[in-house]
Amino acid sequence: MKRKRLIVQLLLILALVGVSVALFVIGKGHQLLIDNKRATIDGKRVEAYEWVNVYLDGAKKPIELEEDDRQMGKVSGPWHSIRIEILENEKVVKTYERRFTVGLANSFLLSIQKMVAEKEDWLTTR
Amino acid sequence: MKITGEFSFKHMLISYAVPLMFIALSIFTIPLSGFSPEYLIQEMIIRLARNSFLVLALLIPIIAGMGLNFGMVLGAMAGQIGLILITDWNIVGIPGMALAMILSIPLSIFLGWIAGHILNRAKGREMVTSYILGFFINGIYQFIVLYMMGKAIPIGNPALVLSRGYGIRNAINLEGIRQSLDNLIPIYIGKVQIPVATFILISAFCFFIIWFRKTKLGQDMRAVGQDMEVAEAAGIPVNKTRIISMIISTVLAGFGQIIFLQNIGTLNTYNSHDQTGMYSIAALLIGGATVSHATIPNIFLGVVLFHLMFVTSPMAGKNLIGSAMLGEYFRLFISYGIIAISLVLYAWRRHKEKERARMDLRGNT
Amino acid sequence: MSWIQSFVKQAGLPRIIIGLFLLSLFVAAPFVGVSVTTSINDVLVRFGMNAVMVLAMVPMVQSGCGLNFGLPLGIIAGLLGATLSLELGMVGLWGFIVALGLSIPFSLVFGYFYGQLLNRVKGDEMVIATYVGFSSVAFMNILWLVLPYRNPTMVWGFSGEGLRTTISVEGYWLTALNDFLSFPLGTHIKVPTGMFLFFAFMCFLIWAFFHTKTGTAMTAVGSNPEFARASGVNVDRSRTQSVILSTVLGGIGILVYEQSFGFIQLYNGPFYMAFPAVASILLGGASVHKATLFNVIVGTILFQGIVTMTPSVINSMIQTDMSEVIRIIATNGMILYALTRKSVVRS
Repeated sequence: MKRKRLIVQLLLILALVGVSVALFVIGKGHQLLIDNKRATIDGKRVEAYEWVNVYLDGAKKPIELEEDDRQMGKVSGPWHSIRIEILENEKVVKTYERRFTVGLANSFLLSIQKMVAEKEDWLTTR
Repeated sequence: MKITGEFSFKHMLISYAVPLMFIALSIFTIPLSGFSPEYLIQEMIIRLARNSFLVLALLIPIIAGMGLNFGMVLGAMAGQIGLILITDWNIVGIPGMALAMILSIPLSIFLGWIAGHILNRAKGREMVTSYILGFFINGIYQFIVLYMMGKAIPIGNPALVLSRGYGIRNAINLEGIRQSLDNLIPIYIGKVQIPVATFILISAFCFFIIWFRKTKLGQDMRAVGQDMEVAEAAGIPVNKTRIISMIISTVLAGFGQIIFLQNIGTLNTYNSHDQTGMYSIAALLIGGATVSHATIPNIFLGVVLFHLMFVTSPMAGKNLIGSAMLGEYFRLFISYGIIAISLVLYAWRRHKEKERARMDLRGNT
Repeated sequence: MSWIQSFVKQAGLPRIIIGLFLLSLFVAAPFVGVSVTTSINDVLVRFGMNAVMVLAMVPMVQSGCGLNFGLPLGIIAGLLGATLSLELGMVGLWGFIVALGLSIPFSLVFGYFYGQLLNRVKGDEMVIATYVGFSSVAFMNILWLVLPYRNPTMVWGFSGEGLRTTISVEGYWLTALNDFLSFPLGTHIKVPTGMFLFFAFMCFLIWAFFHTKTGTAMTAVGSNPEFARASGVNVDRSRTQSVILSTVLGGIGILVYEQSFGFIQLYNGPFYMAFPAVASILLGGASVHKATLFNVIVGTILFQGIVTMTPSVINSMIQTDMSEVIRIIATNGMILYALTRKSVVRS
């Protein structure tokens, strides 16, 4: 009888630990430093865009980036989506969206230019 | 101990003396303060959501006969350490709050176990002892948080640490979890916002307490609370039961403090827990509870009445005499005075009963 | 081996441990740059400052009312005496004596009502004492603000209304008692003879009191109330007397403290002042039911020693200021220890 209680207690603790880890990952806050800056991709120079609207995780209000600008977005958890609208002369000329995962670090650098070019290092840890 | 015999009006008056006094006081201070009804209603709803859980934590020790758990501050400290950790790790939102609660559990269990042991060695003097124990553990908490954190205990987030390199800052912004529980399910009635999720959590624990009272452990505690010797004779492990009651109370206090702080949004590392015990106990007593008997309605009635007085007296003092400081002091005086009066009334009644029992034994008229 | 054992048993192991700890601090002091002579001077002065308040614990413990956590009530009486003497502009030793005299009527009245209250709550005195103490401090907060004091060194500068939080007694009776018959010892030490003489005098008074009929009755009430009642002693009256005596001593004690310290601390100053006194007497070997003059002296020296030496030595050792935290842990730890001793249950 005593052994059964011990096993139950052990399972309970394991469950708690598991839940804690899950909470840790799901609740981890991340800073995304979003860059709209000129970059060198595959040896070619890619210019910064005139104006970019960034919608993180389906937000209603966008994060707005001018040319050569860097803004910060805050998200929590591992799974996210991003949608951007590139504007020229106040008209949307291109949109791009994708889903992505982040690790457990506190802040990340996101290069819009590299993301659009689908380079692998578009998202790096700071 | 039930009071049998006279059920006179005077008897009723004495039992409900404290809440009645407070209602009378409020009738006086509310109009004086100049606050609008909507403001007061909103404030009361916020404060009910914020404080009720903490007061809930006081119920179990009263059932077990340990009196007013002045040591609930131990749980508050455990909860705060949980919050410091999740702030350091940058865990936000509901997961952050939940994680803080889970992290506080082992610490609360440890502290509650110590408290239970110490109180077992001070039977008959539980309240003074738990009061001093609160101060003592506060000293140790300060030692850990002010000196060890940052040095022996690594803290990753430099924003948390004092400029001298170790020790946690006085005020920690909890913006990550700020109002995360309160705003989870926001409902408005007119202009008044109601933190529904918080109330759901509070009701859940009310049901937990009601269920707990019916379990064997709960019945054991009641038996121990009524008469330790009889319980011992009936085969109940008295010491162990008392320790368990302290552990449960401490864990709940930890949760309660986290709920409290998520509403306020800032953690005053060295002060937030100071008044926790005092205000919660004052609220419970104002709601009509005594050292040996407390029910769930006592909690809510007490929180509302206490906070009504709390909110209105500074302004009332200012409008009446011209000094808000006076209102503050008045509020402090009422808080302590109410505990003093309740303790006196309770002890006086107990004393009268003992005397009456002794008289009966002697065969006097 | 046996006389060591009996000595340990009589003195109590924890007391010996603390004594040895204190000794080790004194030994370590010169190695970390703390002057031993200054430290001894500090400890002795603090002893004198606090001893009377510790003495105030004795009457109530002896009469069975427990530890006087309501000492703030007596302290408030003392504060009233002090502020009134300043208001009247009294200086020097005479000023101190006037302050004493003015505080006594207040102590008598406070003590009387306090005693009446405690008589109705036999068995729960300590917790109630604590909250009575707190409530009165909180209540006095209101009074300090509105009472019509006029002395410009005492009231707030701008509005002129209400007393300041801390009032200096410089120019009035700062060290008035200390300086009485004092003499210098070496370059650093000025022996506050007056204070020690005064404490010795108080001890004598208390000793004499407890050998009077009233005093012995008080002790009887504390050790066995039924027997005392059967012998014709009015238990309630004896208890009230002990409370009044304790309150009076509290008032005197805070005045002795203030004349050495240099400041009158109002508002929330007295809030926690009962705790060091309680810790001291417990450290000296008293229990919740019995306290002697020996307990007072030994306890105050040990307590003040720890509270003075631990911070200064440890601070110098690890280059940090931990004094406040250490004081909290030490004071409350000692009270906790005493509260958890098994006591003999009276009928």
